[in-house]
Parts: sequence; structure tokens; C-alpha cells
Amino acid sequence: MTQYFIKRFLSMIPKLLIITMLIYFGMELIPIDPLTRMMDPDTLSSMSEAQLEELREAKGLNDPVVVRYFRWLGDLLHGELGYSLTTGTPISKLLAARFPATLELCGIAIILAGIFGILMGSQSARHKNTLVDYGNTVLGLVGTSVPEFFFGMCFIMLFSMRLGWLPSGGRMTIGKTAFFDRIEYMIMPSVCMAIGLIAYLMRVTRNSMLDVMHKDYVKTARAKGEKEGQIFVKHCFRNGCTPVVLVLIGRISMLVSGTTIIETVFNYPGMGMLLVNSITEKDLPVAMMTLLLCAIMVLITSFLGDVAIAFLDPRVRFGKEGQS
Amino acid sequence: MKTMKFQKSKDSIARRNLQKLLSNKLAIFGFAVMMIIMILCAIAPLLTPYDPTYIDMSLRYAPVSAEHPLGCDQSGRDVFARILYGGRVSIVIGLVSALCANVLGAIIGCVSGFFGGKVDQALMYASEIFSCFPSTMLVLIVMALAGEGVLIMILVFIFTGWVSTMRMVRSRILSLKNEPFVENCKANGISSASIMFRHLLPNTMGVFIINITSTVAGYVLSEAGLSFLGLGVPKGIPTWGNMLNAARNLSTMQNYPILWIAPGIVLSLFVLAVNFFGDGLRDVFDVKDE
Amino acid sequence: MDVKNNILEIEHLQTQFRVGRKKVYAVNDVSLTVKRGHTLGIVGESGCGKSVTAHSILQLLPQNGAITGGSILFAPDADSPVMELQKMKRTGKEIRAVRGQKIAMIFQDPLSSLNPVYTIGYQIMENLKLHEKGISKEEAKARIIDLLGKLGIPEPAQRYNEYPHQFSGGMKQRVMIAIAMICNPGLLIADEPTTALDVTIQAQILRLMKQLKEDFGTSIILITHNMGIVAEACDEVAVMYMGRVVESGTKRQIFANPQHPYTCALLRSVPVPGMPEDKELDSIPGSTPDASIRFDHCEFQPRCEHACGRCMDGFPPVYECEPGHMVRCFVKEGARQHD
Repeated sequence: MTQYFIKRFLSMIPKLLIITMLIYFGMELIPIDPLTRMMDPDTLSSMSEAQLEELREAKGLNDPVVVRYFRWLGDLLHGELGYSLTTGTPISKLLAARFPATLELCGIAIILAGIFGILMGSQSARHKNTLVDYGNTVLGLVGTSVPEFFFGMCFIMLFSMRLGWLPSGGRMTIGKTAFFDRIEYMIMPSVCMAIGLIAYLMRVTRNSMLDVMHKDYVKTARAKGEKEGQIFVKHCFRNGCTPVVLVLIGRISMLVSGTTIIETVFNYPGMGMLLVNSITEKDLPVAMMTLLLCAIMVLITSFLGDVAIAFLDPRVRFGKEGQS
Repeated sequence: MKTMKFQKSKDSIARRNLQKLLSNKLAIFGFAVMMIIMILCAIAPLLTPYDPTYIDMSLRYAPVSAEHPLGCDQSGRDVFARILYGGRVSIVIGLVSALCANVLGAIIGCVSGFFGGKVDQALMYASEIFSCFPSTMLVLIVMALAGEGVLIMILVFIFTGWVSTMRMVRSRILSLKNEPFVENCKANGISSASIMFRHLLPNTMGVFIINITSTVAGYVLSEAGLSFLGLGVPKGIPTWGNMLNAARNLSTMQNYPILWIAPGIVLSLFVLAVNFFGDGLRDVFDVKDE
Repeated sequence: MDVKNNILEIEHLQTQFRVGRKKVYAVNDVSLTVKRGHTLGIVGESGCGKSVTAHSILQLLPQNGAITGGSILFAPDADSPVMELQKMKRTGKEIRAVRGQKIAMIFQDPLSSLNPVYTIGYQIMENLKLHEKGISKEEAKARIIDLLGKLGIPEPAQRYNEYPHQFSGGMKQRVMIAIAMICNPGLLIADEPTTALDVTIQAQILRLMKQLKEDFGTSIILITHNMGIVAEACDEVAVMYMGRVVESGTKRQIFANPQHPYTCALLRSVPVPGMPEDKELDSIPGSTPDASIRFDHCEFQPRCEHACGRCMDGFPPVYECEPGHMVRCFVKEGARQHD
């Protein structure tokens, strides 16, 4: 089992290298002087042309691209991500402020989606082809069809403007920074993000449960005299969970993707909004670094997903595939 | 019934599938709504006399009236005309990107699944790397590097969108590859290209068609999202997303809800219709998620 | 019901399925008797309703299937009251108390009949705990390990904590038998228990079941399509065709003196040792008709070589040609008619 985890963990390293490489070459494509994104703008503006050239040599910007890449990678590991073109703030500082905000939002959305998606999907599977099932299916299709920002706008209209229950945007009221004080700011964005995921998880759960419910081992459990409810929990649910977790992990990337729009709608200062703003302001280094951080986040969650799957399915744990 | 009837079924698979689809009311409803919206957009000049890009400041925020059934927007452009003409652009972006991305994905998936080995490993690795990047973010950055425009948007969608089709087609091919009929073809000396394109690819049609419907829906939504952010289709071209962009201003959002609710509803309805239809197709072809 | 000799009596059982708008008549008229401590073999081609009969006994039919007539009488002991299984609710308390404890069942495919995510110890324990509420964990475990050993699983204490994928097919079927036998049921229903296994393993499993019958006094219903298995493992035989028992009797009666043309045909299609080399095996012409078609005469008539005009007129009654040997065919018209 440990062997499996180590193998999985190590397999992330080449992926990380390739991802950073892609980002680096993306940065190279940006039509600006690389010095401007590497240096504090204050020191930079005080320099003469000759000094700049010297600096360029000192920084190794005239070295071959491979050398430059690895030097850049070293900088990354030391937390030196460069500087924003527009404000001159270190990018690491910007991201450090935004990262927890997005993490919170995604976390809540995943929890919401997990609970409701799996519950509704199981309910549909247990009452297949009844009114409940059809209702859930239609709700699910609506959930995947209506754009999340449209939901967001409708929510703002209804809950903030008409009813005045929830703030229309932002992350916290000044002076109140505790998690529970911030929750009211996170309700609407996280619900909007969760809706699509709920719909998707519901469908996957339904299919997976239906699949499992016809397996022979469920019949075996029934032949043992087990209660229907127990059969569902112990045999259908437990076994049907694995594909659902797999799919959930696979959708994390989509969820992070969605933060761009949802955070913009709710004016929520997370990484999604940072990316959108930096692109609007043509501040591409910030955008690139945000993308890199998000990609690494997705990579790590997919590793965590593998760990979860190994716990759920002994066949994976013991390194043997197939045979269901 | 004294004699047994061993009648051979005359129905072809296609006909049986069609019948199955026709019996699915939701799918028919979806198909009808989808077609209606597409036709209305196509014949837009017959339905409205207005030019969707004509700015008339005297008509700023004009209310709903007989001349302007959905009123006018912040630049005095007729909202109804903009929805119809905007639909053209949005739907074309969705359709073209979906078709191209799926064809590309299917070809790569087919090659990958059929030949296996190093090629397959490399392609799978590439698709894994690709799926680490959140798609909207990737699209935003690539577009920031490549520039604005409808064509560029479509290209970026294709470039970033082939992965899921590739995986689905690949896994389908992998399971088909072990079927006896492929062995049979090989034993009969049929070339691998012919096996691949004549025997395997048609068998992945179900996955392919369903994927197209879901990606059309996805790209229409993506276009709307990007344009909503103001980073998609250039502002001058009417699209559903660009219309929704107007609502990023909180006061417009509150005071002139029709400006964003109308395109939002049409957009949602279109995507919903496509998804209803796709869901019906999914039942017909009996394809499971993932 | 003859509680003293019989553990189970099925009379005129009917089971139907609803598929879309069609009805499928899976079991039309099945009457069977399982004697205490004996093995009853049910044979027939695939689709003849033998499996459905077995599932009907324990109310394990899928949602779209239901018993529509007849009775299933079950007497666990000679002095306990007779249970009417067909009247019990599918998920009710009564039938659940019967399942696993009094009547156990093992299925065709041991590979898919065990849940891959639980250890086999857990899966056997599940059954034991359900029916013996007060049992302590240590005692239960000891009993399970003991049984696994008896069933020929090497190193049972260690294998107790292993997962199904670590077992071979034959071993999995032994585990299935352990699940079935842990509560010491009076009746074991084995639905094609060896079909998915290799031939050598088949023989082992059959021997094991024979041994169980002798050691525990369990009555067994063995469902199979293989006449060879019937010859090896059964005491009584019932031959089924299209949801009806067409012939039943002791093994000797059926093999030495088959009466129904279908039984004869089945026997002719099985190779027998010492058979002349140039003799070809017979096959039965045609195939089983669609079960959604309702016949008003003998179902075997279209494929029967002895069919005559009368066979088209109605169902043949059941004749008793020897004591305990029943045939549903006009060939035995002279014999005494059974109820």
C-alpha cells in the first residue's frame, strides 16, 4: 500500500516539471522585457540603459533557454514568482492573499456538491423511473444548462437587492474576519459553483448505484437476509462511491475554472478574479503564475483522489486491477 | 397462437434507435426547442427590421414597446434583434468548435487506442497534463496571448477541447479491440487502417454524437462566460455573452433586468434544449458517463 | 404437506415478469418436492425457468417479477410449523429470517457474487451476525475459520482477512458455500454452482457439496443444465422445459427409464462413456421458444419427434408411470393420472 502511494507521489514530479515548463515557455511568449517581470519596478526605473544591460547579463537572461528555465524553477522553489507589471507587487504576495479565499470557496462547493449530489443521485437510483427520479433528472439538466453566472446574477438580484439577506459581493466586512463572519459572503458564490457539480455528481451517482444494484453480490447480501436499507448502505453505496469520487476529483479542474466567472460576479477576491483582472489589465505574468498555482492545486487534489480511491477499493490498494 | 413465428426483424438498428428516440418526449421537446431557436436566429432579418449594432442614443434604455418588444440597451440597440443576431454568433461558435474539437479528439483517440504502446502512452500523458489546467483559465491566457476574435476563440476552444473526446473514444476503442470481430478482421487480412476506420470508428459513433451535443452546450456556455467577463468575443459583435456583460454593472443589473434576463433565459433555454436532446441520445446509445 | 419426509414442497408455482408492456411467463406450472437430506437436481436448457424457480423460493426475484400463483411450502424441521413462502413480502421480516438462516443460496458466478471491497471474513460474518444476534466476535470468528478449514480452504485464519480478488475461482465458490452454510441452513439452493468454474474444480465443488449433505444433513436443490452433474450429485431429478416440470423422479428412474421425449433427447445429447465411437451425439432441433408467447398446448410439440395431432389440442396432464416418476406427456396416457 505504501508502495502504491510512493509510486503515485513520484509520478507527480515529471508532471510538475512539464507543467512548469509549459508555463515558462508561455511566459517567454509574452511580448515584454523579461526584466520588468523579474525585478522590483522601483529599482528598475532608477537604472540607466547600460546598467539594465549589465543586469540582464548578471541575471543570465542571455543564457540558453534551458539554463534560464532551471534558474527560474529554482526561483519558484524559493517563492520568488516575479512582479506584477501594473502594480509592481511581488506575485507571491498577491497569490498568498488570494489562495486561501479560493480554497475556502472550492472546499465549501465540493462539500455541498458531494452531499447533495450523492444524496439526490442515490435517491434517484433507489426510486428509478418514478416521479422523484424524473424530477431529479430534469433538475440536474437545468443545473448543467443554466450558466452559473446567470444563477449568480439572479441570486444577487433576489437575495441581495430584493430581500437584502446576503451581501452581493466581497469577502468580509471590515473588522470581522472570523470564518463564521465570512460565511455569509461565501454562501451565494459557493452555491452557484456547486449547482453544476451537484447536477453532474447526481447523474454519475445514479448510474453508478444502478450499476451496482444489479451486481450479484447485492443478491448475495439479500440472500443472507440483510435488510434493504442495510444492503443499500453496505453494498450499493459503498461500492458505488468509487466512480463518484473519481468523477468528483476529475471535476475539480472544472470547479477551479468556474472561479474565474463566479468570483468576478460576486466580486470575491480569489485567484479566479485575480486572473481575470490581470488579463484585463494585460498583466500576464500574474495570470501565468495564477494558472500555475491552480494547475498544481489540481494535480495535488488528483493525488489525494488516488489516495481516497485506494482506501475505498482494496483491489487498487493491493495493486491489482480489473475483476469486479 | 398455434404456430410459432420465427420472423426475422426487419428493423435496422438505425430505425430502432430512431423509434426509441421518438418515444422519449423530453428529447423530442429538446430537439424542437433547439431547432426553433436556431431557425429564428437564422431568419433574423425577417423577424426584426433593426440592425443589432446600430447605436441610437435617443433610445437609451428604451422600455418595452410595440416597436421594441424587449426594449433597448445602454446604447439604444434593439434587444430583441441583438438576441436573434447574437444567437447566430453564439450558436455558430458552439457548433463549429464542438464539431472540430470532437473530430480532432476522435482521431487522436482512435490512433491512440488502436496502436497502443508508446504513442498511446505519450498521448495519454499529454491529455493528463492538459486536464491539470483549469480550462477557462487556460483559454483566457491563450486568448490573451493570441488576441481577440471569433475565429481565434474557436481555435482556442478546439485546441483545449479535444481531451475528453479523445479519452472516451480511446477507451471505447480499447474495449472494442478485444472483441472477436476484430480478431476476425485481422485473420482475414484486412489492413489496420481499414479495421480502424471501417470497423472500429463507426462503433464509437454513439459516444461521438453524444459528446458533440454536450460539447455544443459547453461551448455556448463558455462563449457566454468569456464574453461576460469581457474577454471573449470583441464587444462590437453581438453575442449572448456580450449582452450579459452589460449586467456586470450593478445598477444596470438592478434597474434594467430585462437586458440580462432576456438573453440569459434564451441562452439557458437553448443549452437546456441541447442537453435534453443529448440526454435522449444517451439513452438510445446506452452510453454511461466516464 | 408431508413434513416428516419433505423439507420443501412447491405446487403449481407460477412466476411472471413484466418487460415493458410484454409479460414473460417464466414459470408456468412447477411442482417439486425436496426430501429431507436429499439432493434434488433441476435440469433444463437455459431460459427454461429453473433459475427463476429457485429465486422464487426465496423471493429474490427482480422488481419486475412476481409469483402469480401456486404455493411454496417449507418446513425447516419435522415438528416446526409449515411456512408458506409465496405469501411472504419480498423485503419483509419473515422472509429475511428464512434467507441465509433456514434456506441459503449460492449463485452461478462466484467471481461477481462476492463484494470486492470487503474481506471474505466480513462477508461471512455478515450472515452469522444477522441470524445469531448475541454471538461474540471471537466466537463468530472462530466458527468461521473452522468452517473455512472444513471447506478445504488452506490457512483459513490468514485468508479470513483477505479480499475476494486474492482468491481463485474455486476458492471463491468455497467462500460462497461458507457464507451459505455458516448458519447451518436446512436447505441449500445452488444455482449452477459450477458453471463458471474449470472442470477439475467443478468436481471438487460437487464432492464438497456431497460431503456437506452427509455431514450436516442439509437438503440441496442443485440447478444445472449439465446431465453429467445430475448423474453425479443428485438423488432426485426434475426436468424443466418452458417453465414446466416435464418429468420428475429418482435419478435411477430418469436415467434408466426416461419417458418424456425431451428427457430422452437431453440424455442422447450427452456423451456416455463406452459409447460407440462412430455414434453421433443427437441435438434437439429448433430452439426454446420466446417465453412471452403463451401456449395453449404442449410447449415441446414444435420440437418433438413423437408429436401427433393430439399434442396440439391441449396440455397433457401429469401421469405417474411408476411410483414417484411423473411425466407430462401423452405418451404415457395409459398410466395413472396425477392430480
